[in-house]
Amino acid sequence: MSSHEVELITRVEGHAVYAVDLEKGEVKSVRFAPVEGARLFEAWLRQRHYDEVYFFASRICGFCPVSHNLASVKAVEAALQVQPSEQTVKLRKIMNFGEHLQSHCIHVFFLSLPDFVGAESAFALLPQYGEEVKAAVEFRDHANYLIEAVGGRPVHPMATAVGGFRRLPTPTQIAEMLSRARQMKKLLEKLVDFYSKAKVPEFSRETEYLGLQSQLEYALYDGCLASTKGFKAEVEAYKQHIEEEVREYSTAKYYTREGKPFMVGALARFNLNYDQLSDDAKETAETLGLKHPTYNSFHNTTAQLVEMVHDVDEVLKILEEFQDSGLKDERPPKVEVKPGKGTASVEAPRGTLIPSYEMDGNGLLREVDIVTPTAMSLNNVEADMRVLVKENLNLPREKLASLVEALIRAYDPCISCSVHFLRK
Amino acid sequence: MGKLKVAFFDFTSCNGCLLSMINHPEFVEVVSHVELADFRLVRSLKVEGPFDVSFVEGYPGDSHEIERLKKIREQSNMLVALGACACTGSIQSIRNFFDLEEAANYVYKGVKKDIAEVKPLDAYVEVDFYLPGCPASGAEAVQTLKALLVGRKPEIPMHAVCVECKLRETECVLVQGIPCLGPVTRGGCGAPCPAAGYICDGCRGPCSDPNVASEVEILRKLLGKEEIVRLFRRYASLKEAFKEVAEGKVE
Repeated sequence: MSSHEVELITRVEGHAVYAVDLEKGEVKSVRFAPVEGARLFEAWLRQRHYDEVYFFASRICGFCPVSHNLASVKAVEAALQVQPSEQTVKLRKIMNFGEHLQSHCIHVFFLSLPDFVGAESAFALLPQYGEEVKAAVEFRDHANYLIEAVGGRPVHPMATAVGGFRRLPTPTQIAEMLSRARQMKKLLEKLVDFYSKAKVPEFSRETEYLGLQSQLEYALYDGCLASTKGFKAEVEAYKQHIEEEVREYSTAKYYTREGKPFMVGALARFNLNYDQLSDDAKETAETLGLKHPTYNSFHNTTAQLVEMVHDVDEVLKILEEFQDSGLKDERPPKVEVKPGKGTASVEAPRGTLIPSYEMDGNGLLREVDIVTPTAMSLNNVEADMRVLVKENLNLPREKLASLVEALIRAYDPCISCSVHFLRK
Repeated sequence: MGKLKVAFFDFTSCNGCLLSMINHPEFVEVVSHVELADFRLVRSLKVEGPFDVSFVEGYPGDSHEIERLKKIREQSNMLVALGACACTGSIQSIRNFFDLEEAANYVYKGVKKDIAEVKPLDAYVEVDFYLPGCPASGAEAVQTLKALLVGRKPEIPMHAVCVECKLRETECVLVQGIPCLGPVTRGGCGAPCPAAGYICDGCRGPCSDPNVASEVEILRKLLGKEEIVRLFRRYASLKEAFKEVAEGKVE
């Protein structure tokens, strides 16, 4: 028996290891296990106040703090039956798009693309692709500005509040955001061109693709749970449909639906909600050879780039409207504290994120559950690994290892988020 | 003299401090002047120690990480604690006020675990420089790197956040009757939170010589005892200056 285990996978957010056990040329077992120290967020968020919990939720992940912040605010609002205004929702969407744009940009060009062009890091790309890397950096800066102008700062924003915002962007900031979003639109041409140099590995394994879905739009900020297998459910009912499982070999929690692995994230959203993408995004998919549907998980990275085009188009729409009509001077509403239960969801860059809280009459949390996207995709990563290794057993071990790592990286796993995980 | 050999390590954390540093517009330029060693978050290449400077983000979350931290210290001439988790334990230290067994069972439902109590880096190893904040200030991290590059001692401010609200002309939230930890919290962040309509909630830990008694006296007019305790528990309950209040000793 032989096995390959790397100490820590590089170029992913957080700490994880993987292992492949081979016996007589057969794949005996595979595993992908986050080994980040246990953070126990759900335990210590109990007894904290609803009006601070969404700031703590951000700290689950430095790569997607906005998604955690917004999902948490929404869960609190659901518990307290607070309805945010239309303007508030639009501003939150700008933050959400901003985060998807910066996170996707970092993942596509700095973490994943090096795999597809045979480089060890984005630093190694600099001599040959200096201008392209610079464009990606510039794009990321603009995306961060969108979050900062609305949320106060790019990492761990603090302008959000239950029902509204603590302060609104100024007209100057609106104009600046619009100007930057227009620059992003231009930069995307160069970035799509850059990405077309990528040699995305061939692979195919169909699975169930799950995400939020809405009749109104390509769902990111809100929607109900849906999948490519025709599954549909309200977010509140997530526990009845998504099973949590503890594996013997790992203390990590893994998720299944009807006993089977499923995938969340950009490729899942692309497969699920393709029709609602902007025209330019669809065109980009065609340019990059991304067919709908696609069963190659490596193309999660490509789908992220397609989403970047869509997200910029959507941000432009909102900002042009704000530029024309200005913002109303809205303050967060007075909140009546009462016991209640609230479950909500947003699409984080890496997929569906579901926090669920139970609150007492003093506004303190009593029960907390947080299902993160990376945790939901773990089972599918392993199922993919099994097929990928089987199909590439003829490769030298080092090459096979690189291929497996590239696959894991393409999922853009966010290990800090998967707070359930423990070292074996 | 050869290039300064710099490594960036991450322990249990959200990676938001390293990200804030990478996000800084000057980071790529500054880093081009160092010999970049380990940086797991963004590159696959591993470079063996010893290192001139190691930036360490996060806190050691289990026994393996404690050992890894000690090894890194042995191999590093200077060690910089990057961010609140590394400097003070940050929000993770809130869980120290829970029974660890019960907390772990709540999440893992009885599964065996290896979980260390939440402690900052200097509970295990010597730390040369502290860059506090949740997240750490990217500008401060880049300034520190620059200073070390030219062999100068980094200047990391210890004054209160209030100084920076005055400098950027943010109306004082405390005088508006909104509780704020600015007067006892270490500045250097540029006070972005009160400017965004929030308060300073103390993510950078205590400033030099903080008057906590006076702060509590002011807060007492605005908040109940439990609320004050919760506020002081957020990021730096292990620091001597905040400890008493965080442990509930408020009149």
